[in-house]
Amino acid sequence: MRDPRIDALAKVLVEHSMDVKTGDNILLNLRDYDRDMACALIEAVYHRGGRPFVNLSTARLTSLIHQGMDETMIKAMAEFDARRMERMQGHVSFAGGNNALDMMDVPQEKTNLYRTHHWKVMDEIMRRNGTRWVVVEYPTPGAAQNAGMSTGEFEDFFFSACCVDYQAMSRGMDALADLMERTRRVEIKGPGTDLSFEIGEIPVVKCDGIYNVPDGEVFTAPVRESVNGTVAFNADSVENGFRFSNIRLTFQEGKCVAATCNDDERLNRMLDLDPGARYIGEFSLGVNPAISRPMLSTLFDEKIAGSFHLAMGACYDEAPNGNESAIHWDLVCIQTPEYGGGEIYFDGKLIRRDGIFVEESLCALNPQTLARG
Amino acid sequence: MTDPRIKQLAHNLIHFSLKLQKGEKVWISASNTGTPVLEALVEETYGVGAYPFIQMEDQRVNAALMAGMTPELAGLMADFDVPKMEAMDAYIAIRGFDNAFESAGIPEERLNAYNAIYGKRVHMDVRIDHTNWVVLRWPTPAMAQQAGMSTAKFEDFYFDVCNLDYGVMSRAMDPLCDLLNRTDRVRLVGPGTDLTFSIRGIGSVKCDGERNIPDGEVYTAPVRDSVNGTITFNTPSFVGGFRYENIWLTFKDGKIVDCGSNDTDRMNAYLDTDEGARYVGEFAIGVNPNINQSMGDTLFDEKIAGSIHFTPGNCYEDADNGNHSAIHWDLVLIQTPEYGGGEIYFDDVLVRKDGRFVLPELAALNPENLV
Repeated sequence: MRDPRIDALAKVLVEHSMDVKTGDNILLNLRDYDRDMACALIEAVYHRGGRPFVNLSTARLTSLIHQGMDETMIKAMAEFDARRMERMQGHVSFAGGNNALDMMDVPQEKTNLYRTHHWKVMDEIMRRNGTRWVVVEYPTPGAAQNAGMSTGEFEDFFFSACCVDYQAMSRGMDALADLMERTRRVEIKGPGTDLSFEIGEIPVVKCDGIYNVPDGEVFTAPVRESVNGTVAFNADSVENGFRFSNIRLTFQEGKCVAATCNDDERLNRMLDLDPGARYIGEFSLGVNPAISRPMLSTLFDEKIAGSFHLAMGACYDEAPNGNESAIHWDLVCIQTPEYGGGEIYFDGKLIRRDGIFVEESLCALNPQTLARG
Repeated sequence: MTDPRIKQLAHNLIHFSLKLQKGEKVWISASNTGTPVLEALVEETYGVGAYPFIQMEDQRVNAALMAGMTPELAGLMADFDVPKMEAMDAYIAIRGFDNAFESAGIPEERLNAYNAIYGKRVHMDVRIDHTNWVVLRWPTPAMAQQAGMSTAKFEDFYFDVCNLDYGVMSRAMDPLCDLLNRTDRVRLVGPGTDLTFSIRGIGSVKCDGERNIPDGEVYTAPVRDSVNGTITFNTPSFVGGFRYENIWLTFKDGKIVDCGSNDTDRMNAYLDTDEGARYVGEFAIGVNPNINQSMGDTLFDEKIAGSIHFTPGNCYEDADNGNHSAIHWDLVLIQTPEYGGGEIYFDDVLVRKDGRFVLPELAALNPENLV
């Protein structure tokens, strides 16, 4: 009795994200796997004439293995996995587990070893070969608990967020990306927020369901030293097991010079991790019509329709502003009326008010239009 | 909250069956077992300073994969896994199932392509002879149902037979090995069965808990072209989701020249997998005192006290009769009185009658002396 929404999601991943073609080899990595999801993906890959390869694991078992591994073992794993990865055209990876904290039992030095000798090896192969990849945050009971929802409610939310019409969203994003590329100066206003910065020549990237599912944002980065003013974030953020609320940051020439929240000291410790942690590495607008409130998981919250987010720390290679840091901390502000509203101006012109695009060319991205499909 | 019998089993597998050493690599493959036994195995493996490599499988996921299997895909999978298997020192497979018929409906040629390519290259050519391996079942409600038992009773049965004292059994097997090594002609007689063959020079191997759990058989192989006569099996056999019953085989100079079952056409297709599939690669005698009836599963049934099995297909390297095949089809004949009785003669001397050893030097292998 497979939930038909599982097949719809498999179709999005295989036909949109992976765009599987005849003869493509597709690696399916499922953690705390749902067997129906695995079967649906296999069938969808075969349907496109591709060849599926399956890896099943559980977070608890992976955690136990990682706790005991050493360099010899990781290198052996990497050798086996590299041989396979070299031959893959695509890689579907499921994140999330029954308990988000299972991996916390792995000592940091083991995690670092794994990053160096396994993760980086796979990453290098995928970059070199242009392997397509997509990461899916799966709706486990643990993820539902994080969001304060029942598992059933969370599944409803998840599938509606994952199975939006990404083709339509992608087309709608073209106009926004085009406008952002032509824009020099951004101003953001709202309750507790009055912030301005330049986005100049920094590239603009559409996130339209190719690499992440659910998806729905268009990002760039502020010119590093151009940020001035104050921003008040109204979505909570969980970092290292602590739930930050009411984060408010003030910037002077790009640098965060004042930071408050429900734990000022903890917040400032995070921002003092390295010099880049007090500068912004990403500016992004969220447009997923099926996400309208925070789930306390960045992969969902940064896609909220009517939101924007700024990331403290490292920029992305695709939209570089020169800021480097060990952290990349996405902080989300929702500007829909329920969350207090707000405006975004590009070069002095109002383009979004209270979360709704007012610029004619961008209306295709408004939730009512996208949700209608 | 792991059942202590699971920890005991994991301990026996790592320390007794595999005798895993520091620095060795073990490939642990499990389907439909749940994670507690895998966690116990990972802990035992790390406990001796060895390295666990886990492969989790699921019957339904496998069935979905098999539904589209092609020789190309099986070949690619083998390309990835052959070097991995070559790097291993040991291998454990634990197989449970939620439905014995999960692969029903998948075209035979897809399953055969997988077995003939992946199974042969990874398991027959590398794993069997180049790793220290052990294979076992996992007790599931479906397996209990197949055996006609409640799940709780089946679990008790399972852990009883798996956690048996295999040291005692191993010593009792030595005289049977000696006798097999000295024997030329074997004759099997029983209802529908009168079969002769030679085992001269092949040698014998004890299965005393090192490779299969549960265990309890001594095997050899017939000289390839020496088998003549007919054998009628009385236990069902599951292949690719099909339950074969009432199987009989007639041999002429080693080759199966006639056969029958509840689906003779399907059976002939299976025996036509390759040339070696119509010759026999193994002859074995079962002695596990806690297995007295068919559980509907080869890994249990071939160990039944008072049984023999006779296997079309590939031989083992340590009892080599030169027969090679992608299949290794263990077919079981129980000779206890409840199953119709029967006799085994070695060089015209009666060795076992109605499932009980009659020679004094083999009495230690009768069930009451092993429990």
